[in-house]
This record gives sequence, structure tokens and C-alpha cells, in this order.
Amino acid sequence: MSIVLTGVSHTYSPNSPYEMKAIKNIDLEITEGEIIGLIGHTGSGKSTLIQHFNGLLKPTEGRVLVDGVDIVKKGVKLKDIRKKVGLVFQYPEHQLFEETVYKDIAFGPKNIGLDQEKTKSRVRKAMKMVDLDYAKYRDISPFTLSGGEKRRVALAGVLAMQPKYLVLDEPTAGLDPRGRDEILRHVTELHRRENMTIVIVSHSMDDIARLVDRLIVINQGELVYNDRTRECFAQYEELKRIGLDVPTMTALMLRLAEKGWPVRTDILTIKEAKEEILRVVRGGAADA
Amino acid sequence: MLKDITIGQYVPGISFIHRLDPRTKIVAVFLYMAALFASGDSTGYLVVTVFTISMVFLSKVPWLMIIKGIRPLWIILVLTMGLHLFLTQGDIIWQMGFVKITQQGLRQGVFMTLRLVYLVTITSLLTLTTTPIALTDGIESVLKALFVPVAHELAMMMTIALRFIPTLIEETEKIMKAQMARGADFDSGGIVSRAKSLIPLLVPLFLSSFRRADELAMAMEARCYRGGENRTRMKQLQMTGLDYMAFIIVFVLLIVCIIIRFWM
Ligand SMILES: Nc1ncnc2c1ncn2[C@@H]1O[C@H](COP(=O)(O)OP(=O)(O)OP(=O)(O)O)[C@@H](O)[C@H]1O
Ligand SMILES: [Mg+2]
Repeated sequence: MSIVLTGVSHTYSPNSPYEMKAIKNIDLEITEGEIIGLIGHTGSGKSTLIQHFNGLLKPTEGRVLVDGVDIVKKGVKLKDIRKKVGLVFQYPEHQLFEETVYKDIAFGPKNIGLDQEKTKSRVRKAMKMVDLDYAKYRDISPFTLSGGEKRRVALAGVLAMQPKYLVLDEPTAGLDPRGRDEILRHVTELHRRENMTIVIVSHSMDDIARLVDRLIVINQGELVYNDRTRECFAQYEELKRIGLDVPTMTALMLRLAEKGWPVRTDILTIKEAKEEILRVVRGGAADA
Repeated sequence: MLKDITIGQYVPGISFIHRLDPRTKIVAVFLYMAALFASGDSTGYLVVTVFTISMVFLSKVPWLMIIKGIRPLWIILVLTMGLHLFLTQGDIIWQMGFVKITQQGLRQGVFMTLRLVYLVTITSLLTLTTTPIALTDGIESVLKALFVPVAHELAMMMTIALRFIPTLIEETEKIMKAQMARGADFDSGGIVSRAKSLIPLLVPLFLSSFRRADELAMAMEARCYRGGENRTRMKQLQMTGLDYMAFIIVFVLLIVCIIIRFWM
């Protein structure tokens, strides 16, 4: 089962002076069980692209199939699609509105018509997934929480729909390092334990490098790369040209290589970098 | 759908109308309104119609934008038309049961509806061809000329309000989408459930508006904004030959309409 996009383009305000072709002719497949990163410069169309995954936006051209179902076909209930594909927007805490954390998280389950018992168990489970203590947080107002906690409540609000695919738009934007690590840890756990398919939009190459298996790179609405993370970041010159960085450790290895050290440059994480540097240094020592 | 709201939108251009001074345009709109209200018969309406259509052509604003501006008013237009059509006493031209249409009613209905349409057209044309900044500069100096106190503050409030319409629309769409992603449904159900479905939209919207207002006030104070006292401007408004020509044209329109109304 998968989400498949074929030749998808989207134009905002067509036939007006503000016409804007935000994404162009995108072919893409997201298979169940994957964890995928989506990167691109500001305004490259990332948010536009992901809103096609659950039918919030309809393609101007092309087709979107979610588990084989065309999202624009007559008679398709968008609610069913949205149940399958959970979308967490940028700054999701801005969508909180209820008096209590419980009620806010229960909004989704209620909308898809679950009864009280089921809703309750879903809320419990969703709160557990993001490490919010049910008894402690249940009855307090979401507006009194800290930024990081609010964001976790919002995330739980989507998780309570129990989506098969979870799409996150810059989930760590505006959080402090600790809040960021927490969110990313939850995302990893959702992938490992709950076997959720994850698509994550991020501007942080380090987070991406450590998290995802496959990387999608878009530039000015066009798909540039769609490959394993390591292969994508090997194209550092091209990435730089379209205004994107490589992970800090890749950059470090590139600098070392530039200075004449015989290190591999397809390094993504601190751990790999450490091993590679030790390998070269020890190898060098053995030579001497 | 929300994007269809054209109030406060500006369509860039270099037409005759775009190049006019905002003060000219504001005063011209009032003169036009006077002409519109002075007209009461077919000849008068013909003149106003020709004038209105030529203005839209001159401005090179796409017709679609104008029509989009009128569309949200359709309920009011239909109501105006209906009330005049069915409730005016006079010579009956069509009757079915107690429902009847009179000649005077038809006439009144058409005129009143046209009047509303033209009013909206010309005011949208004003905002569509004038940048919000120029518009409020214009309003400020017109208010000052009328000795309205706190003219600057009023104009500043308008600038800010206009500036935030698109932002607010954008925000509304974003929150709507976020709630729809959680299965919310904004366009079906009865009137009660529809009103209820607005709560998840309105609460976050209010909160973000307050947050924005707070941030803006802070940012303005941080840059030493203290209202209009002793304030000079970077861009001085300047009347040109075009403006005088425009004045002559609308005056002629007004006079023609008055002559048609009272002497023909
Ligand atoms: N609702 C809209 N109406 C009109 N144009 C839009 C709308 N939303 C986005 N755009 C335009 O489409 C382009 C792509 O926007 P999008 O939000 O998808 O970019 P993004 O990659 O998510 O950027 P960021 O990293 O800043 O979030 C931008 O040029 C933007 O101005
Ligand atoms: Mg975005």
C-alpha cells in the first residue's frame, strides 16, 4: 500500500494576476513503512506538496492515489483519506482551541464518529505516544502549557486519528533544543514501534541525516532528487546551488578532504564521523 | 473560496487610473457617488453605465476581479431586486395569486440593483488600483482637509486593518486546513452544527489576531512611533496634469447627471 503521485502540478489562484505555479509535474511514491525526509529552500513548494497527500489541496494536473484510491474521484470520502494520512502543520499549536487537553485531542476521533469509550482510549494512547501524562494533563487548558508541551498536544491530536501515514511540516520549528529532541524522538518511536510511515519536512539537515532513509529534494516546485539520504547528500555541490546545506558532519568531512585528508565524505552522523576520522588517523599512524 | 475576497487587494498596473493621485481618486469616487444618486431615469443611468464601464476598461483591471468583488453581495442584490419588484405599488404588468409585479417596481428594482453594483464596482476599482499605503495617505490628507481631529490615527488604523485582511484570510485558511486534517467538516450539516463547527476556527483565529496585534504594537513602539504629531512623510503626494484632467471628467459627469435629472 502506498501514496502515489503522478505528474502532479498545483497552481494557486489560476487565471488571476497572482497566478503561482507552486509545484510542477511531481512523480513520487511513498511506500508503507518508510521514513522519508522532504527538503527544499523556502518557498520551494514543500507545504504545497504535502497537502496533496491527504486531499487538502487538489492537484491542478496529475493524479494522487492513496492506497489505490484517487483523491478527486467522485464519491471518495475525504474524511477516510484524512483518517489514513495524518498531517501535522507548521506550528500546529496554533490550531488548539478547546478548554482542556483531553477535549482538544478528542476532536479528531469525535469527528470520525467514534464513541466515548473508543475516543477515550485513543486519547490515552496518543498522549502516551508523546509522553504526556494522562492524569496530569487531561483536565488542564492547553493554553497554559509551554511551547513544547503545546506542540506535543497538537501532535497527539493528529495521532489520535491513528493514521497509517504521518506527515509532519517542520515539526521542530521554533522549539528549543530539548523540545526539538523530544519531538524527533517521538517521531522515531512512532516509526519503529507503531510502524507508521513518516514524511518529515525539515530545514535541519542534521535532523534529516540522522532520521530518514530516503530524501526528497525539491527546488522551485520541481523534484530534484529522490534517493537514499547518503546518495542525495553526496550531491553537495548541486544542493548548495539550490540553497541547501549538507549535514554538519558531511561538511566537516568535506573540509578535511579539502585539506588533503583521505577521508570518505559520505558521512552523515557524528558517530560515523568519529569512526572515519579514527580509521584514517590510526591508519596514518600505522603507516608512520 | 476565501481568496475571492477582493477588498483591499491591489492589482499592479500603470494605467491612467493607477497613476492618479490617491486624493484625486477618493474625491472622484465621492463625486461619482453624487452623480449616481442624482441619476433617476434611463438616460441618467445610461450615462453612468457608460462612464463606469469605460473606467474599468481604462484601468485594465481584469473584469474577473470586479465580478469577484460583486459576487459576495448577491444576497443583498437579490433582496433589493425582490423587495422593489414585488412590494412597489403601481401599474400591474404580471400577476399570479397575490404575487404581482408592477412597472414601477421593475424600474425601481433594476435601478437600485444597478446602483449597488456600480457603487461596489467603483469602490473596488479605487482599492484595486491604489496601493493600501497610497490609499491611506490619501484618506489622511482628505480627512485633514475636512478638519477631522486624529486624522493620522484614523488613517493608520485603516492602513493596519487593510494590511491585515490578506494575512487574516491566509491564517483562516491555514487553521481551517489544520482542523480539516483532523476530520473537521465546515461545509455540511444544519445551521446549528455549522455554527458549532466554527468554534475550532474562531478560537485560534482570535488568539492569533491578539498575538499579532500585540507584536505589532510592540514593534511600532520599539521604533518610536508616537502618532501623527510633527510627523513628516517620505513620499509627498503630488498632483499632476492627469489629476486635473480627471477632476474635469468627473465634474462633467456630475453636471451632466444633474442636468439630465432636473432639466430634461
Ligand atoms: N495559499 C496560497 N496562495 C497563493 N500562493 C501560495 C499559497 N501558499 C503558498 N503559496 C506560494 O507557493 C509557493 C510555495 O509555497 P510553500 O508554502 O509550499 O513553500 P514551502 O516550501 O513550504 O516554504 P517554507 O519552507 O517557507 O515553508 C510560494 O511561492 C508561496 O508564496
Ligand atoms: Mg512550508
